[in-house]
Amino acid sequence: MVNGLVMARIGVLALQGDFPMHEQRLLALGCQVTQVRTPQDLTGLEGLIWPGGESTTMTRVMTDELRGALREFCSTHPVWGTCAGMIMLSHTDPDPRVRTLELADVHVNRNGWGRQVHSFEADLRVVPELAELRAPVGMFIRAPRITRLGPAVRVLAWYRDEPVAVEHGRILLTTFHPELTGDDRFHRLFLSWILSHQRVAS
Amino acid sequence: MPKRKFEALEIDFIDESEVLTPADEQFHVDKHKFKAPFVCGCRNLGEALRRIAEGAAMIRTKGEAGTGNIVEAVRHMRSVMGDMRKVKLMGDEELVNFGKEIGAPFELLKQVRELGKLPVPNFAAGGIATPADASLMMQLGAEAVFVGSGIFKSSDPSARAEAIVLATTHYRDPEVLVRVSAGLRGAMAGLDVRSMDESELLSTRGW
Amino acid sequence: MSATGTFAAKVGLAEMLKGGVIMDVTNADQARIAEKAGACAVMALERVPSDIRRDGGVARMSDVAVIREIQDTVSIPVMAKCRIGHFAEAQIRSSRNRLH
Repeated sequence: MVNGLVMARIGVLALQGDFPMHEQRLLALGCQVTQVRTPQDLTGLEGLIWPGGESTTMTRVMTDELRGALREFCSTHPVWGTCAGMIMLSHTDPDPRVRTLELADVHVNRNGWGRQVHSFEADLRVVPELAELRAPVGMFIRAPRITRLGPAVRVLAWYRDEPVAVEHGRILLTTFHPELTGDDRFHRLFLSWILSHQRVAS
Repeated sequence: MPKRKFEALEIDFIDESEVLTPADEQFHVDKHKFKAPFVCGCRNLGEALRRIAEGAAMIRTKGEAGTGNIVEAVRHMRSVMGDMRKVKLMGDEELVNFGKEIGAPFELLKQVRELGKLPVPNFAAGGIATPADASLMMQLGAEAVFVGSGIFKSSDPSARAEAIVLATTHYRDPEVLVRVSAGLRGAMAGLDVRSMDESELLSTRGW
Repeated sequence: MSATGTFAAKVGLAEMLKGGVIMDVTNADQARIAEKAGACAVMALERVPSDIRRDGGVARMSDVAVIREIQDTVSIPVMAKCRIGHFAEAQIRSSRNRLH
């Protein structure tokens, strides 16, 4: 119990990708973490992180049952997609290899920066509520690029003048990987969403 | 070949591999000099940490490639994981000595002690041919698997590939493992590593 | 400030492949099958290890044209092998690294 709130129970989708790094960050922040591979694993969770990895692989290993359960969960709980996880929650150009949930009013271009030799790290500009002594480092690994944002979407971070982190309702999306750098401010932001959700519920 | 052609070939990951014939019997590639990440094979913790010191961004077991026989990959993964468990309990003076014994840099050994794992991802390769092989390696501590000859030397590559992918995601779920293993047609022909001549082994290449 | 090719960015891609299967392929058709089956990356090579073993002789890096074709076919990462210690093969793989 912290400030009368229960320890957050957060799921990390573990179909494929860097779910272990997110899990490590959440454990360090005192969360209870569940690896999610089946619809049953979502029971009792208060939020979900959809990690980076390969969106084609995630599409292939996801059963229709799990897809339905994730759609339901992500429409009613705080959820955060990084990189491929962001793609899976957004809209992207039609491609039979990738079936996204299209829950966020955001359009992305997969691998918008090109192949791995173009993967990069860079300082980001953030909104005041995320500002700290130093700028967060964005780690972009074969990252997607945002091509269109809906009117209800708010930008939280930019690389140069390009949006790279956004929120739409209780969906957080980052094209980069906060779990790979030591900076946990995005994880703390996501946790604060869960805690305010707890307050509303209780 | 025109130089332009080389420059445009943007490989996402380079495998400095014992499967190809070694070009240098003394030195591995200085991988820090490259923009592309490298993966290297290992048989034990010392070899893994030497490759990481040279700049490898991923380690995989060597196993014995092209045999369809998992025994060497199991041996190599058990050796790496077992030595890491020992390292976790060592004091500094023991660690210095252990580093000399296995030919590993002290600083990297300290990282292993702190993290309880390699400082880069640790994958399995060399002999994986069935969904159960993939599950076995994941349960032994591999964080992903490479499948070489196992897929396109089997009689139904597409079904086998899908089954191995599902077995890797759900490596601890016996129900899924049973379901994906059922009805798969012929796996690749396997080789008994014990009956092979020393000169036929690929895993002894590199050091 | 922005930097490519950092060690953290290299390890980052390895992190993204966790929980997945990387499959050996020798042509674009095989790469397509691998991707469709859910491979998180493919390893492009001239012959699979069991054939290299059978054929004997010197096994070298694979043909640049075949790799290019595989890259054009799939959207997942494409890997390739170089010989142990053969930094010139690695330079061809990597691009943008001048001979030194």
